[in-house]
Amino acid sequence: MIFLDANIFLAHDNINDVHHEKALLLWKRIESGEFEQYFTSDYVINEVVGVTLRKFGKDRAIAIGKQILNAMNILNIDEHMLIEAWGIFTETKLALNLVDCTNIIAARIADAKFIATFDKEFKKSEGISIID
Amino acid sequence: MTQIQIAVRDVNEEAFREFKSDVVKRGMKLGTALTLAMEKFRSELLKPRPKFTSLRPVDWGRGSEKLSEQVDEILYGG
Repeated sequence: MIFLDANIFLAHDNINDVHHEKALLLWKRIESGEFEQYFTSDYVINEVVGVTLRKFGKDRAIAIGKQILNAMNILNIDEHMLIEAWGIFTETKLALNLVDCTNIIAARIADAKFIATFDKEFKKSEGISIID
Repeated sequence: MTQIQIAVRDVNEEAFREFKSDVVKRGMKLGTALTLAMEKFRSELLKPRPKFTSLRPVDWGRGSEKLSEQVDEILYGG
């Protein structure tokens, strides 16, 4: 199982993105079932839709949000997961924001072995296999 | 239809309490509601989903080259 970070969606959607070509290859691997099931969280959708809304517009934000909601399982971050993520956020020396920390907890809770992200900071985090 | 009794470990207490409360409010039996929930769960799992990549990528315009690396900056100003 693999957890998908916001940049994976954005890099795929934007043909100008520096990671677009890598994202195309990565999505082929993801959708071919190489990592079995794939999923994301409601917090990540919020980030993808938020960035798209600000930088491209509402129509595209709706399109991409709808596509994510239809295409995969969404893990809702509950209070327990948020508290766990808060623990990582307050302790870590890495430049991870609270949503990044919820990604780690989401992967852990779902027993996902991998996180797909182009965020280099995750590579410094122990106990996570990063796919990019 | 054959009916059985089950015991389930690791159920989230709060989720179960809320579920039971909703079931009681609707005048249903817990077993009936749980059966419906299981059927709904299975139908959701079996529902064919579109691929995310069936949404064709587009040109986000000049200056968008590093957006996937600037999520924090755009949303949180950091």
